[in-house]
Amino acid sequence: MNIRIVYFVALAAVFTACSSTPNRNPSLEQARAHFTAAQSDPQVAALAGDELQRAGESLGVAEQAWNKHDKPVVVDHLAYMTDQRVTIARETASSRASQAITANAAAERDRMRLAMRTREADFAQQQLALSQQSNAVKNAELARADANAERDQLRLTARSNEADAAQQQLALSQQSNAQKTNQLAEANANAVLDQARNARSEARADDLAAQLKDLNAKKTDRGMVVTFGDVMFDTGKSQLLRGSRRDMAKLAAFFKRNPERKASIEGYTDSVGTESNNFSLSERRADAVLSALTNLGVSASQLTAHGHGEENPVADNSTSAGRQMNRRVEIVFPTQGNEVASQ
Amino acid sequence: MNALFTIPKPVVVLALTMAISMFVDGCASTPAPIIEKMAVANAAVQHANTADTSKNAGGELGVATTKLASAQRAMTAENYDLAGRLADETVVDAQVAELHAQSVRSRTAAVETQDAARALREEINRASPTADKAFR
Repeated sequence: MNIRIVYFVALAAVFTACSSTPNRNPSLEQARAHFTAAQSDPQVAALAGDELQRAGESLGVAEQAWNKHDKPVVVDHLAYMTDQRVTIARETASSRASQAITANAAAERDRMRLAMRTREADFAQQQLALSQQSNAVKNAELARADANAERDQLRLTARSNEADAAQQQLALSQQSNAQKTNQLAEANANAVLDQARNARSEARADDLAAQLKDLNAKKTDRGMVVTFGDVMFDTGKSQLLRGSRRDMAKLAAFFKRNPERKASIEGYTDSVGTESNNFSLSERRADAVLSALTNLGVSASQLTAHGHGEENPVADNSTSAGRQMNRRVEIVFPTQGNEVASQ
Repeated sequence: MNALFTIPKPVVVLALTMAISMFVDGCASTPAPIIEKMAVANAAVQHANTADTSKNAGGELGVATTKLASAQRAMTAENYDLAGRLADETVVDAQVAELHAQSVRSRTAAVETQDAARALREEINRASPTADKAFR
């Protein structure tokens, strides 16, 4: 039976070869087309080279069978095998491509995660930098505030110093004021002193009359007259008695205080006794007074002495009291300048 | 023997032993090459017959299984040429089913990974404007 089939097939092959184009097996053609397509697919060629090669070998076997004019079922079978091997190559390539995509995607995901972490880290660092910058700004502000405070403090100190200086100057000027005041007071005191001195010198001018008054001086036409009574002398004697000493000292002091003043010492007696005796007695008594004054330091140039006897009686010689008043020594200060005259 | 490249050796040895013992006992006249082919086809279908392959390459697996049964019947019918051819086809059919399932699986994984990457990229792009804004 097999031999018969072979025979028919061979006969048919001969016939078809003669009559029309022979060697047409649709499944083999299809397998070849599939294989060629897979071969030209770069993905399959790249990722499933071994499987593609095996499919090619399978196709070779099928074509060999076809060329050997094997039974169509065998050729169909071998074409089917080739087809399936092409499919296997395609599936393998697809699988590997997907796996590559998976791997790439995973890698990309890792890269993205890394980028994200990096960005987060950068962000954190920038935040840190910002915060540090902000800190630096705050520190600078703080330092500026400190500097301001210090400057204010310095200004305050300077103001205080100025105030102290002003106070010192004030104190100085107050001191100076006080000094001036003192000086003024001193000047016033001096003025008062001067006034006092003036007053005293004026008083001294008055002194003349006052002191002369103290000696019971009387103002007369001849000037001021100081009269010493007969109590100064014993009767008929020209010796000054001890009791006259106080009056003599006053008179001497007056003359010494007023060295420019001159006086005339004039002696008088009563009418008892002879005129010549009285005259000489009066002269001696006047001399006695003069000598007493010069002995007490009075300059002789200030004094003159005269005896007038019983002339110019100041009282009645007929009575004892009158005679006593007439026995006297007068010290006459002639009117000199205006001062005495004005008295 | 090309089909055996993708099948682990212990499985092949086991299947061969089982098949040989089966067929030698049942049919002493069956040629050894056919027995061998049938064993390889059996092993290939068993290897491909997984839940994942049923799910992602149910049609292809069905073709392989059906073809194995046909090969079995042809062998029983002592049509050894047909049985050998069907056994050979069963092996590549099982491989196609297996590889198709794997391809689908890989493609799914690739799509998922790409989606995840896209989602991450979108998240980054969504997060970055706020981050950029914070710098201004």
